[in-house]
Amino acid sequence: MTPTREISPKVRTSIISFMTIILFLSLGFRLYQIQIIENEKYQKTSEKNAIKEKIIEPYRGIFYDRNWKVLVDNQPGFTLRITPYYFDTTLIPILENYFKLKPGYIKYLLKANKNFSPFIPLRIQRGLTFEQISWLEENKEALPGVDYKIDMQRSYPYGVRASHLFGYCKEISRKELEEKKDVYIMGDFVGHSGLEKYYEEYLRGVKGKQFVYVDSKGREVGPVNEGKNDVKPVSGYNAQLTIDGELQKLAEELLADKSGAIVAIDPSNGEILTLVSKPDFDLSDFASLTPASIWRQLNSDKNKPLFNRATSSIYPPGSCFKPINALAALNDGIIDEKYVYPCGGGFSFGNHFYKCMGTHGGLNVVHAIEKSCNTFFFSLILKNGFERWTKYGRMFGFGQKTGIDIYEEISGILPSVEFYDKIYGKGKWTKGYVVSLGVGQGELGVTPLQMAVYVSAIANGGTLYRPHAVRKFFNPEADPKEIIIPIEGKKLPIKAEAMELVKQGMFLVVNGAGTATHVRIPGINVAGKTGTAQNPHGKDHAWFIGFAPFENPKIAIAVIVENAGFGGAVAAPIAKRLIEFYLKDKTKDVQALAANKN
Amino acid sequence: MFKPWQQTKIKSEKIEGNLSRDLDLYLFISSFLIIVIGLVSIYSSTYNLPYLHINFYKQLTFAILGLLLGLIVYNLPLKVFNLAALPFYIISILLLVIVLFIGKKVSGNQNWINIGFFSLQPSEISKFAVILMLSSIYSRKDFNVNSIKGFLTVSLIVAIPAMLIVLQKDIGTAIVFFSIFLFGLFWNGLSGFSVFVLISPIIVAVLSLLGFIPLLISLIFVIVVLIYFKKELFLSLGIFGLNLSAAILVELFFKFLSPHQINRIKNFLDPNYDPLGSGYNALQAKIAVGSGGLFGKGFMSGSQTQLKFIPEQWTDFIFCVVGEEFGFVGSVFVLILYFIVISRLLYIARTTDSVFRSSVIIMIISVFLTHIFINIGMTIGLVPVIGIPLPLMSYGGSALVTNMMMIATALNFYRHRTSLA
Repeated sequence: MTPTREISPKVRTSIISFMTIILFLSLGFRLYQIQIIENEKYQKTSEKNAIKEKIIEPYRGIFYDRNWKVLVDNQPGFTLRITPYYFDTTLIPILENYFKLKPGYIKYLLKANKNFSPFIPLRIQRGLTFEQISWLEENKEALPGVDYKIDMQRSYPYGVRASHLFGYCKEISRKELEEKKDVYIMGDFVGHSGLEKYYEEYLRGVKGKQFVYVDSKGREVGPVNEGKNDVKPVSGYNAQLTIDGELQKLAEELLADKSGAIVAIDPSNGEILTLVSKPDFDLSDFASLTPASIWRQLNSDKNKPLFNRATSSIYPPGSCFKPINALAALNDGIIDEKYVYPCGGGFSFGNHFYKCMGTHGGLNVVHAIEKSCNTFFFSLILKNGFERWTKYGRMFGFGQKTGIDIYEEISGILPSVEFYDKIYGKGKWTKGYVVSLGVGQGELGVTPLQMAVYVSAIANGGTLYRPHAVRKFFNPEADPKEIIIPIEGKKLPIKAEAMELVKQGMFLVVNGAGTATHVRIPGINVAGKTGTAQNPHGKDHAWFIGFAPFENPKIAIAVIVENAGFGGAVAAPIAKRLIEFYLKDKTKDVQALAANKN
Repeated sequence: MFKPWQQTKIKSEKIEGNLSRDLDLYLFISSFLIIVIGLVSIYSSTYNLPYLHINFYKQLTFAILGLLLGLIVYNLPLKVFNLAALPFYIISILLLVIVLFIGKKVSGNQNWINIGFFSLQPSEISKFAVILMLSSIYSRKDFNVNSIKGFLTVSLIVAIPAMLIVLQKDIGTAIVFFSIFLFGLFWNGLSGFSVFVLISPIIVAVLSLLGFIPLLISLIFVIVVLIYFKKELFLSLGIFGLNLSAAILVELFFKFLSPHQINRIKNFLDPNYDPLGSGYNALQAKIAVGSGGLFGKGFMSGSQTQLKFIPEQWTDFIFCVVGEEFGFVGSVFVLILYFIVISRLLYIARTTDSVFRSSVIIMIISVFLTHIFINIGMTIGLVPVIGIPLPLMSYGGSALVTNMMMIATALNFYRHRTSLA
């Protein structure tokens, strides 16, 4: 034994003991630090770590027509997804090639979503085919981070297109997402146009939440607290539309190869029975992610199929505007039933001669409407004065939005003194500018919807209703269970006698010696007015506005067919077919239905 | 197998009245409890993994096997240990060579020999073999630790297995060997100056990793100590040069480490470095233990554990289960048990009247202490992540059985504490 060993065993033991104590104390202190002092912090991290909040998409509300036929439904579709965290970017060319994506699209998406969690899957393409799903399944192992998800897409089971009315949904834009962060997340589909957009809030429902435990790899391993904390999704409200599916379908067929619009309204409450704008597009193209080719095609189409002619296109109303001219004069006592103005084939004003369609001789207001005498109305607007005419035009909703429940609407143009002062300069326009307004030409611009609202007001004796396409929303899961869309209308200060005379004139247009006598329907009294809107770019546009039955109007309609020439020849027969179908054929159907039920 | 078991039984009956005198109950019970807690933790952490839950039963089998072997070791005559040292050492070296050729790779380390139903880990066994071999050397009458010959002999005995283990890229175990080396030398009278010469280059190298200023301070410290010892100028300069080159070599050493080991060290120095990569385990382990709080989340209720946030938790990160599911109370309880084990071992080392036996025990202490401190330290962010198991708790048959043999040896020595063998 060495001397060192004999001298210091005690010291050596002490050093080792001391070291042991120091090591254990440091472990103990560190444990105290993280388990007691910093416990809360780690606890939070651990919860965040292990619990994943999964969003459960609610069903989007279904659209029914007024007779409970399903017009817009949901159907499951497959969506290609990429989870950036697990995704191998060398797979991009393979995916882009197989799914025929635009080169660079995936890279762009990955870059654009860099700020979001890499664990949130990105939707790449909706509406995968069965073949594509099989391919994904077969190559699962070779495609890390690539999968597909079943989600709901819109379907249109009834064959009604109504592209401009229903509208479509689209993936939420960055800007919109910024504004509504609390409701939406990246990749959500939101109503982008039409009713889908206007009633987005009702239709979308409330997202559900499911809390699941995930392991370190983000794989779900089970529900948290047996699912007790989960929040069930609430489906969106289903909508009962005011639209008549069958009538809409027929209207679409009648206008199929034409350019124009049809709006039919229930004159008793402003419910839209039909709203068609042609050419249109197939909404099912938008149900899944729209291929760029379709987008390009729709956007570059000269006929502008994406454009809603019924609410956003302005035309001169032509003769259809004459009844307003008449109403202004009658209501304010400028003329009466007996007032007669002679038509010698035209109207001279200043050094200009305004031509009439014929030489009508002396006509009172009723027959002036019946024959659509230009001379009478050229003179009448001057008799009325510009301001009065404008006032009555505004009264019937022209120059302003109707308030229909879609956003794609414009107010049109109703000339006024201010309007002319603005465009021509004060004192730089003369009464001559006003004369052609008397027959609905000139700077006057109206939408087919405004025309339908206006003819409805005449039909119902003078109440202007806000047109709307949804009657009510209902959802047994939600609170409130039902949301009735209120009927909003205002009674116009028009005397009954004045209204009666105008209506008589319109009755004779169809039933007398007027311009639309071929619209007569046996057993139903139809009243109406044709119009020809001068089109500086080509053939005139043909108008017809009307309502029926005359005694108790159930339908008011406005039809415009672009480049169709004279209104009575093209637009009126379309209106006739629709009125006939709605009032006659359908009544039979409904009676048959009722008989079956009993 | 049957015979010694029977013998033990008879013997234990015979000495029943003296059990408390012969058996170190503190050491026995605390070791036993640690094994039980280890089993419970493995049970919990593998419960949700059907294909790995079998690990619990494997570990249970090894614990029972270890108990049986332990009974044999406990009853061996004292001289057997010294006699077995050389053959055991040679066998373990052979196993370490074999593993290099036919070894199975597990997460970057190549240190398993597959023999049918289980994998043998020679590096675990070699720890005990080296301890016995070194003790055998220390107990020689003519051995002088402060002689060049003595020092070189000891160094060689440790260096052979240590180098073989480094070749397996198992840095953790290599560190344990260094600890065995130091403790043995220190216990057997290595001068303070020599200890300083051995340790200072390591401290300098570690501090150099932290930057230039810590390096400078450590070098100044080395100079101060050298002046204190008043050795020859030539020797002092040589030692200073050794320290300086250690700092420089550490860069080269980094090249020798595998990338994931470098990342681990970098991550330890800067916790925000690569949180999803190499820092992930360390971070998740800390979250697991930290979220346990005072009383823990309860058995089988630790979210980090049950949801597998820590890969292979039942091996190197087993302490997380205790920390998360049994909280501060459970963690400290385990620490106390380990502390009792170390204290009792130290007591045995101190009271054993034999160089061989006290050397064996003191080096067993070095193994336990290093493993405990590094393993628990890494799960709570006190030490970089170095993959070594927690003694008696981590999953792994070779380690469990070897550790149990070491405890059995200590119990044997305690029982014979008054004998003069």
